[in-house]
Amino acid sequence: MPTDHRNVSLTGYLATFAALVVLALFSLVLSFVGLGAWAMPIALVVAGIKALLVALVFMHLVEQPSANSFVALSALALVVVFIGLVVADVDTRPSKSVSGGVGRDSRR
Amino acid sequence: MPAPRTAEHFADLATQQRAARLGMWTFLASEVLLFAGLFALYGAYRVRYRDAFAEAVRHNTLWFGTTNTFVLLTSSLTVALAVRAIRADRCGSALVFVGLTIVLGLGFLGIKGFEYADHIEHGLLPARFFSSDVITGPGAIIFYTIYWIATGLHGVHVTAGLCVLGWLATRIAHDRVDATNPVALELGAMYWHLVDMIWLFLWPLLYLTR
Amino acid sequence: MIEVSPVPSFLAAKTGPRAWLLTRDHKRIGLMFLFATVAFLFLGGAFAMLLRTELVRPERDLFDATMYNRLFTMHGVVMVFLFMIPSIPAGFGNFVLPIMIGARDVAFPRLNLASFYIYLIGAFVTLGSLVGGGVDTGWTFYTPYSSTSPTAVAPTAIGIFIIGISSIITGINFITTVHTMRAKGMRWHDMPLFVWSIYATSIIQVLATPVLGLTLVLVGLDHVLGIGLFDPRVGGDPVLYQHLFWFYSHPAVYIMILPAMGVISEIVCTFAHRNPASYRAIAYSSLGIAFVGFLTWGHHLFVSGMSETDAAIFGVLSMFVAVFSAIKVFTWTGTLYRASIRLGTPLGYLFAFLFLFVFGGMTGVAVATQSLDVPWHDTYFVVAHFHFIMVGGTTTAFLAAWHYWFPKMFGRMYDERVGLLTAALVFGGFFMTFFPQFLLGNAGMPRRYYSYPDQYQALHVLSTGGSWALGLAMLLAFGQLVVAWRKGPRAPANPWHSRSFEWSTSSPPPEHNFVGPFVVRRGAYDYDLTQEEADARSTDR
Repeated sequence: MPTDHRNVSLTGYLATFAALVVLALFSLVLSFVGLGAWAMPIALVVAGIKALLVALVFMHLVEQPSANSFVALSALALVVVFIGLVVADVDTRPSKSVSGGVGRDSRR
Repeated sequence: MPAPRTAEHFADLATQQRAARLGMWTFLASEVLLFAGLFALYGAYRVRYRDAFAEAVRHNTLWFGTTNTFVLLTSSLTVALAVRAIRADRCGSALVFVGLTIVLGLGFLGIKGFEYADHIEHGLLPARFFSSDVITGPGAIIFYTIYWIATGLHGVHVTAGLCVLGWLATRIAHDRVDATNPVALELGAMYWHLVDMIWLFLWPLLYLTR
Repeated sequence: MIEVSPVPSFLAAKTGPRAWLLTRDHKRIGLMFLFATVAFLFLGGAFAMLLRTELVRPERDLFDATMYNRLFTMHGVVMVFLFMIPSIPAGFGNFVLPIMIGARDVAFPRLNLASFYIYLIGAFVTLGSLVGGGVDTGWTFYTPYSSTSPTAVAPTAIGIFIIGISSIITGINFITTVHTMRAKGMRWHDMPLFVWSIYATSIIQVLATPVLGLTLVLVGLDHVLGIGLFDPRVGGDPVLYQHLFWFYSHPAVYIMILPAMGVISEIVCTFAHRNPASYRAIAYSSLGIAFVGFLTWGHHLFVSGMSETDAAIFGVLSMFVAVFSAIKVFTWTGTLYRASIRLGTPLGYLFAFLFLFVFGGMTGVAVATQSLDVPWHDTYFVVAHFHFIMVGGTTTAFLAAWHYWFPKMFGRMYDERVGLLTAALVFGGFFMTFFPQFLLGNAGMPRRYYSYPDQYQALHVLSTGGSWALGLAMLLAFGQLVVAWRKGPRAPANPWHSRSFEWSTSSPPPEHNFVGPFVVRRGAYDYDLTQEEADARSTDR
């Protein structure tokens, strides 16, 4: 049986699952607490941790060649940049109306 | 159980399997980017319609969404255990775990179906089909437009994943996927995990951030 | 060195339509991509010729403004998606890359064949929408017009979506191939530079194309169902569409230029008969372009209503890409400097490329400067800029590649005098077409306009004349290759005396690229070694 990897143990899988459930419950509980502007980033961070656990353990990223991690990380980094710059656009416009950037008062 | 044949263009079986996994990760990366645009739209519109979005989330069906989250998390466990079983040459167990995953996946879709029916009943539909008078305004409409498109696209991927898992189940049953040739199941499981991971981000954005 | 292969060439092995239509041989798939993309090049070119001819006079000559809008849209769609994106990567990349790394095929040959058919289906769906009158939104499909235009937006969007799937598959295949199928002894830094450029291109294809896919779905849904995500009348933001569209479409231009740069790298080293001035500079700058290219899309949105903060960020980031391109240009020039240069048609195209790419690239830096872009945006200046890169750059490199790898692919040589002559005609026709457009744009002529004030006519006439010359030159360039294919003299395995690994096998190569397993003990550019020493260190026996 070809094994070019160390196998995750059954305990490993179950512990990861338990962590995922706990984190999900944690998010759920937090959602009832008024966190204001922190609600979104915290929710995303928790989601990110869960995704990381799924990727590392369930998808065996820990055992696999680093090229695979590099692929996953590249995708993630790009998504962050994409969402970041798009949101930054809307967030930094002078008025939050449909469009209000360059040329909003064009009397040239 | 027939031994897997190394395709003639590969140096050896180990390389072939390594290539399969790398190829799959690359494909999954492309799938992540597919959803990224929707998340970007969500983010941009959330900034513009902060209050309306929060209110729309409050009116969303939290318990349907939350149940589905636990359903998918469990299904990730079962499919991971399926891979573990196949690697240990316990094909019967693997088949059971794949079956469980499929059942959970169908459960997800079923719950989603009930949820959509509930939305329809309350007029929480996308774009010009929106007809709720409990929440109104462009922000609410845009939220539900993104909600339907994002969960719809995700649902398409769940369905595709179920088809893949179903096909894998038949392959295991016919001894074409086993401990000497586990890669197909690994790849199918990877796809399923991706489907779960996308939901892990959709859930807070659509249901929790109130 | 294999002069005459003891096994049949890939062209002779397994003949008949089924052997081609169901092939898994990357070389045959590559050729099929090449023929298809060339056909679409001429189709897109025909649209362009019609447009340019109409523009000879401000009045209506051949057709009305609505038809004009459809023509420039279909010109853009066909050229970008049916020709430019697949041409060098899926065409030459498929043919040459596996041989360059000493592999017998790509990692996923059946997927490779699927990518060809998916491309073809997408192309026919897109062209089918032509029957429905085509689209008049411009290839950029900007909202809100694309949501309300009475033209065949949805089928065209579907067709492009399908082609995008093919592009992603190609990328996955090449990335995996480069990681897992290099010949024994070949490290990353032994690979030919073309491989690095295709690898970088593949990263972009995999990560950027899905965003286009989503965007096209949203456009289609909006057109058919009116979902209003980008409709200001219901609180939507059309600028967000532009973000989503250009997030793909800017990296897409690097999909179009990186493989061309890879071709140039190969031709420079071969024709200078020299190692590259810095292998790492060219290899890493390819990755640099791919990476930074993802961060610059907002420079297409400078006058759209995007925030000043974002405009500033994108403006600065856009400057960095030019650095990597400049590194390449200087390295190529440094490789050529004082080298013992061999003459030939690929070299002719190479010089055309260098001149036109630098010219176009500098104007790219200019329009990436926000303050300068404000008057130039949506004028012929931008049109000239990107045609200098895409035609003067990529298409020139495409032609260079056709001549450079022609002997390898078909085992025949073309006529050098005819080749050089047609290269000169292509260059001349191109310059006459597009240089006046910089002047037109700077003088205020808007792009995509059917008519114009009389003072612009002289430059329009010049540009149209150039387009006829260019069209004729392109026909001649490919025509003489067809003649060479039928009647050219037999080519040896390595007519250019190149050290790159595809020349270590016969011309054309055998079905599995090499006779035995390919083993290397040198880099791809060991011009310090004699030909015999080099051959001894890259063997397939």
